[in-house]
Amino acid sequence: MERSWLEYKTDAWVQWCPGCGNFGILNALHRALAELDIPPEKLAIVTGIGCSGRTCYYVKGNSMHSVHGRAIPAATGIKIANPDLVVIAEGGDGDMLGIGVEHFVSVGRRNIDITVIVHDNAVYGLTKGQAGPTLPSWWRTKALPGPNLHDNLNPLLLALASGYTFIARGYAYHVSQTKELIKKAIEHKGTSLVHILQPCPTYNNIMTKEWYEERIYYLEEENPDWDPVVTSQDEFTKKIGDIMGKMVEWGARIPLGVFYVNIAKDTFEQRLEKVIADYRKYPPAKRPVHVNGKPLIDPWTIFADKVIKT
Amino acid sequence: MTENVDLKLLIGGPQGGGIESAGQIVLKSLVLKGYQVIGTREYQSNIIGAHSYFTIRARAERPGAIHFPVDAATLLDAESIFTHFQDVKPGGFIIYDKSAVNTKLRLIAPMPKPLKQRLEEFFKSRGLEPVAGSALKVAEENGVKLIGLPMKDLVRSVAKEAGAPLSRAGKTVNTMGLTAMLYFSGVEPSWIEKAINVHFAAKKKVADMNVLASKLAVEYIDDTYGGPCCFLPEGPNLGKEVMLVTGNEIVAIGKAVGGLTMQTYYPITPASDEALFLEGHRNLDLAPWAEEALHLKRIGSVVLQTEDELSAIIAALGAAAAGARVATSTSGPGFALMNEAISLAIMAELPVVITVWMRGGPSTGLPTREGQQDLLHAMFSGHGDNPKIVLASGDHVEAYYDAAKALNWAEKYQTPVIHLLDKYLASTVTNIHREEIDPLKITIERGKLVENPGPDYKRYQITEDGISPRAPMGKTTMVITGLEHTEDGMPTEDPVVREQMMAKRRRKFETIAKEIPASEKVVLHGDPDAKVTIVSWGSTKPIILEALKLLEADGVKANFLQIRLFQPFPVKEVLDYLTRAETVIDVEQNDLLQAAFLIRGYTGFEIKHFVKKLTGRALWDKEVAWAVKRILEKGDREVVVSGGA
Amino acid sequence: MKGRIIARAPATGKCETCKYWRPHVVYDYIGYCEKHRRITMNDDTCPYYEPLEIREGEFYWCSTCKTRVSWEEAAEYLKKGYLLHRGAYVEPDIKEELYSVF
Repeated sequence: MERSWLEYKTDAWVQWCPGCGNFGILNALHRALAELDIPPEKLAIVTGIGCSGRTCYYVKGNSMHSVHGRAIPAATGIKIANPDLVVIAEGGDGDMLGIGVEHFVSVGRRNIDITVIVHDNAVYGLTKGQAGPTLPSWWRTKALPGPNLHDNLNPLLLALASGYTFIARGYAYHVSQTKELIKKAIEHKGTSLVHILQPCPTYNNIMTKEWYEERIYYLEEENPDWDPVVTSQDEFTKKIGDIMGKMVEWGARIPLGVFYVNIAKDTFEQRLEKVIADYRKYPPAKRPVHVNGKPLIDPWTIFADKVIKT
Repeated sequence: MTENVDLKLLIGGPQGGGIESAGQIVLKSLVLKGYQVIGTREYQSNIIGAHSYFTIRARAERPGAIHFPVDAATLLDAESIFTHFQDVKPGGFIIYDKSAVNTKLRLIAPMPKPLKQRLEEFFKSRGLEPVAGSALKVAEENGVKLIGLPMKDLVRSVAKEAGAPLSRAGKTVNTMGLTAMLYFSGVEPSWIEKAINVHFAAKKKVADMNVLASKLAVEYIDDTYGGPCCFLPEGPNLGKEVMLVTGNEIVAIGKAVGGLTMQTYYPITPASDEALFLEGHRNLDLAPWAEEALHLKRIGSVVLQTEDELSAIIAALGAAAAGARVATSTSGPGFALMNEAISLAIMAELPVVITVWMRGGPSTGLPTREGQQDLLHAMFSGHGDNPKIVLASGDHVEAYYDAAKALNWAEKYQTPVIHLLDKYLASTVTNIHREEIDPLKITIERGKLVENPGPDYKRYQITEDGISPRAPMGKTTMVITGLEHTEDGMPTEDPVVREQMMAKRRRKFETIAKEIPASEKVVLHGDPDAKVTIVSWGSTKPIILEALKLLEADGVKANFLQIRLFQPFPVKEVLDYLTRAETVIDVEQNDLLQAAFLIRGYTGFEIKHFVKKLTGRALWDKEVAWAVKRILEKGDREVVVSGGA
Repeated sequence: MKGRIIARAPATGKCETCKYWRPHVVYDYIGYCEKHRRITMNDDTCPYYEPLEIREGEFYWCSTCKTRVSWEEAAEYLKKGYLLHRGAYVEPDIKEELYSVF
């Protein structure tokens, strides 16, 4: 059964500024979900705070609007409690790479099967355009009282170092290409990052639509043999130099596409399955808790290691 | 005859020197012999080398508190001698290592400098040389019998007789020390041997070596001192099955029985032992009644160590949103981070139990010591108007039921439940009887959890009792949010809806206040007509109950009002009891007298007398009794007690 | 490459000054002999005895001050009569005796 992307739209007013890159990202997400035929009740979409945080109200599913920087831990809790859900965590660069960067890093160590979408506009839109973690130093976007004194970080390298097993970058106004990246990320088993470059016409007067479009290109267009997939440690060692070379490319040219896919690592859910009885069938949100109000266990047998018979 | 038995023992030594095993073996020996016990650990924020000690008390009736002086102490090194030579009662005895007597105070590197200075002044004022032997001499002059063990020779004999390399040689030192103390006190060697075998059940070689060491200690006491000083009859609990558990462990057990499916945590003292214990028992064999009903043999729970406490609480909230029955566990500093999510849990109406194991603050303060300084922190955690449930447990058995009950309340009322506990309870071991923690006395409730919500489901449906049906994710669509919202979770700033939603959440809180029985809010212990009422909360409960007995023996009739539930605050109950008394005395282990502050704020009742302890050491029954008498005799406003090393 | 020898423990002939001996981390009258691979007492003696050498660039366990010290400090402490060793002996299952402390 073919689903229409309109099924994933809600009736909420989409309140972003005119020309906001979020519109493109939202549409790409709607279309990706439709093409993957994910039933809305099986979708969990968690956001942090920021313009991107509103996304959860605009996608039909199980939405959770958490607090600033915490979309990833909330998504982690949901996925562990019910691994049958498709879980997406969304946030801006401030949310994911500033206030929530410890979670952005730690989720990679678990390789839990969630998709992290970073809407990167390099500014804090909702609070009047302060510098975000991806704004280069000495740049002065229009709402800044002075130049930015902080260097920008590299989200792709950070994700790689943290253990993400799928890393891609898209551009907000390229809806069809971004949709494909999101689809691949959702289909990937493990922690996926889709880093999306997003002009903020209201506050970022430097990294504009024109600025991006002069620079961006797709990895596979430039090199039809580009193959980001790693299936073993040997292949990782062989390919990682080229992959990192592309990840650090930023300036006159900015590459987009899938940079890295590692299919050799187990997911957190697979790890839990190995240590927890019947985890797949009875994860925390689905396991029995009582029998007609009676507890399931007798502490005198479960905790027999603490029992002494006098 | 056993009713006269009230044995108080202490084992002191360096951290990593077998003090934990020694304490456990003493407790097990006395439990095996038929007594009820408590044992509490005092240790420093250090992994290996600093001084720590285990205080133990055994009686026919379960002891509720420890205190100094003790009847006997095993002091395994010079620092222990220096620290505890005045903590043994006249007529009692000290077991010590003979080779320690010449150790100079100056050369004990791990000893805290202020203590060293105080001791130096003490010895100087008495004209004594600052060596361990001088400390022992002072004890002897106070009527304490000294029993020196030639520890080195004894270890040599163990090595010789064991006929094997002694990779765990340190464990024979503590075993010989504790054996000498127990045997001299009248515990027959057979009980000690049995306790050693129980303790090292999984390590036969270690057990055998320690049994041998124990035998050599007994022989030495026989040869040198002509056998035990005393006779200890067998206790009345022989033949019973008991669980010997810490507060951390009993809370974990309560959660597991109470149906916890997932716990998150970030390592912190004194909380993490609870999560580790849960993780060690994450796969659970179903009881016969459950196996039969569900045709299932085992079930698992997830324990997730997160990157920080922010993640711990939010991951728990995510799991709760998905439909899991969840808890997280921390201490004051970690709870400070969790504050961020308290308001989210309230606004988004997500059920979570936050177990807060208090320790001495402010800041990192005294990481391994007692404190009841986070009551106001718990009460006022979170920004915005933020009603939540706050309860405090008084002892092991209460903590067991409260742990399960907190999970019920969280799910029934879809709100955070803060369960306050503390370091004293966390690291105090006691014996629990089967009937005390019967799993079938626990009823698991999940409130308005709906399995088939249907397409028109509204997460925040306005209801009369303020509680909306809660659907797990995966069955329908919904919006869960920390923004003010309409019934379907969509954000709104509409003034009419804002008021409706504020009122809905208020009604929920009124439902909570109405539904929780009065007996679970406050408990008045002792004679309701007593003229003196002691008011307190948390782990002081059994200590104050002991103090009531001491007071009664001294002709003072007092009762004890234990506050169990702080939010919703039981205004009427507290006021009723306090206005009945002539003198009200508040006992707390914090400087701001936080419960008294809340009592005044909620009820207008002003308490005028206070007992507080701030040292971070366990509160004693006898110091509470002493302070109460002092207040009654002299009318002091505040008495500060400070027992313990 | 081994550092230059800058000091030597007094050749008392007893385990506690021997280079093969590591005192128990807290009960320093017992220790582990690496030569015999067994527990011995601090004042035991044996034909393999060799006094501890303090070498540049190495760190030592000072059982008198219960801490690890550099070669310069070790050489200094030997003069004060402190006991220095190549390391301390920690029992394999010491975790059973330790607490969560922060």
